[in-house]
Amino acid sequence: MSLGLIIFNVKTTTQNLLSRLEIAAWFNNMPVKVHAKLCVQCKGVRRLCGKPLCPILLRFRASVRAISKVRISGDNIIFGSTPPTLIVGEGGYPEVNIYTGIVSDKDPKLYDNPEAWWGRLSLEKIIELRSSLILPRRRCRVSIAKLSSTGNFYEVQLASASRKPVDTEAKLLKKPYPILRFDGLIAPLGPTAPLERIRIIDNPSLDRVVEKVINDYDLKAKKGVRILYSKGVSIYDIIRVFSAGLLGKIRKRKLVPTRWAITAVDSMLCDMLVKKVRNYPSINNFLVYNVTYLGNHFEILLIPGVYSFELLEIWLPRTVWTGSILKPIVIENYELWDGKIRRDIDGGYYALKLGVLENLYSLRRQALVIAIREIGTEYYAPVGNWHIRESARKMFNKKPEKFSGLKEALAAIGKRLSVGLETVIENSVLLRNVLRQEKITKYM
Amino acid sequence: MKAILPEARAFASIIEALSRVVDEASMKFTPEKVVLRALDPAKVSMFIMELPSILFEEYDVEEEVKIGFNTAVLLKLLKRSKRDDKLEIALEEGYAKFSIIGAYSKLYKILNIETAEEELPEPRIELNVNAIIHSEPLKHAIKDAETIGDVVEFSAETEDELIIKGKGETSETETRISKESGALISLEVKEPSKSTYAIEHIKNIVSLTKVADTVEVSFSTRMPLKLAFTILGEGKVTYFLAPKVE
Repeated sequence: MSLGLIIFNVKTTTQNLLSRLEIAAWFNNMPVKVHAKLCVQCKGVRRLCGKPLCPILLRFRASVRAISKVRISGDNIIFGSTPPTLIVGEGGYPEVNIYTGIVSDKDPKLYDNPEAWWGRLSLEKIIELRSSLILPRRRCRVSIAKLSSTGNFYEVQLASASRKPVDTEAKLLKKPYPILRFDGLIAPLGPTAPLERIRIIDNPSLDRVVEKVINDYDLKAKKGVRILYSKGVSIYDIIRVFSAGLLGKIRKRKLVPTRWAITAVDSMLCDMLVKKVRNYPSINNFLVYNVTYLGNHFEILLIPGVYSFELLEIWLPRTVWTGSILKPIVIENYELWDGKIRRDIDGGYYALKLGVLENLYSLRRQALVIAIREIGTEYYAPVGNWHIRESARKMFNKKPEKFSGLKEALAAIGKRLSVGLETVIENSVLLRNVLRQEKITKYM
Repeated sequence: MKAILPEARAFASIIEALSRVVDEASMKFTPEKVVLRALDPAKVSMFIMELPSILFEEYDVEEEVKIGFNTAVLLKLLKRSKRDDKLEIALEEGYAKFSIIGAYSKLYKILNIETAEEELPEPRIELNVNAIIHSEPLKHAIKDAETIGDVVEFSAETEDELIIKGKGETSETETRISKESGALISLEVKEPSKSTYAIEHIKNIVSLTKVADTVEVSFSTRMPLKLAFTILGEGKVTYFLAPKVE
């Protein structure tokens, strides 16, 4: 594995994407059987199987080539707007790729706006949208963020913090290779090509609070994130600004790979909300919320009691990660009242937790939370963890079902799940814990 | 009706514990005593307060009345009381009036709310271990256990020692309460017993240790825990908590 990674890293800096794919294909053809459980835990992000690129994600790359319809003029100049989109890669850290998304369309914002996507766009539509967002890339050291407060790079950074799309022109060194890359955390990434130069034509329009925080050179990044969030800046904008290295004390600013930024921002906000939610009174009834989007079915059960959180992910057979396995795979992660996670972390866990915590916070109540995510075959391609966050946020808009007992609440949930309730109880540490607790009414 | 309690602070501590158990509760004033019974939302524990009329400086209740209130609101008011302040409770046209009387008197009027609670019977149980201990070690045992986990185990093998253990996933704490250390006043063991309870519930009533010097602890294997606090001499707060069973 280590040999593979070394070769891989050397190659990425010197060779183009095609040969990277070739190397990956060579590694992936090695006869190693990877168990689906490992894939479910890794989701293409953590390289648990030891292969340099996720073979499942690679397969998707190939299959969507045809979708991309981008046409580029002969001199390789593209003119359009950035929604804004800024992606920071993680390969080769601390020297990383920065991608600025450019699209020529009437409504550029739609190409990078998970909050607007949720509930309206199908998986196909999202893939189609993202495959026409061109991502010119350049390579820089992450520390570039602390040096610039003028110049072209600063313009690119500022554009990424804009509230509205910004007109942008880029000259590419060669034609973008028409592929779409999938990822467990980020929405699919469209065609990319190395950049010769980029010009931000418009003035970016910044929210006043965003402007204030990025011009505060003595404010810690964590504090900055909290301020932006509490002033109502969208979490996707916060992640982008954080990733672009615009937050933090000036001498410590650096670019943050987008994947890391997503989880970092989620976990910072979760920590903040947990501290508040833990002081609120408990809910009085058993509440059940549910929603389905993109083949992901969510059930959230709130049990009266002290805050703790558990996520059960049930991957049905024949989904992205489970392949041809016959039995559903369940992965489980939980935390008790202290808000410390007991097992390996996962971006989806944080996203879901944030959505639920936001809602508990607005209810000014705490509860023991059992979240169930059941993934069916319609979710055939991973499109990032935004849909989990948005599902968790939006399912609370509906009136919950109310129950006076745990048994009734579980029965209602059981009716909507494809797997039996036994599977849920068997795998849930917190539920078993709650079921162990006797009622005092038994003795009356 | 009108009743004057000599110590507002003691009552505040009772309401503090109560407010962690339920959002809304109702006190019943009868000519003999004031009774409050409440079940927590998860129906795991029961809180019973009984204050006989002799405890009050003045007790003028001719017929049975109920005062329903939001526990958090009442607690906020009572927290404003100082040491040696008295508390006057009266009922007037749908409002419950709480006056804190000290160097000067402060009056709070809160809406008398109807609580839907039916009459709750007291749990009828025979428990094998019966101990009277100082409340201070109980408080510390619970706080210790809270730092490492979510359950606490009460056990007594012999009549010499009561053991309170905090159990976490990877660690344990242990408090031994014995006659030698002076913390144990009496211990009666009909049968060696060991039982586990959820900390999230027990810790709710820790504030009662501020007003009660001693507490009566009773439990049996796989049976509820009963904590009885004596308050202001004749008053009593009893807390029943159902066990966790494997």
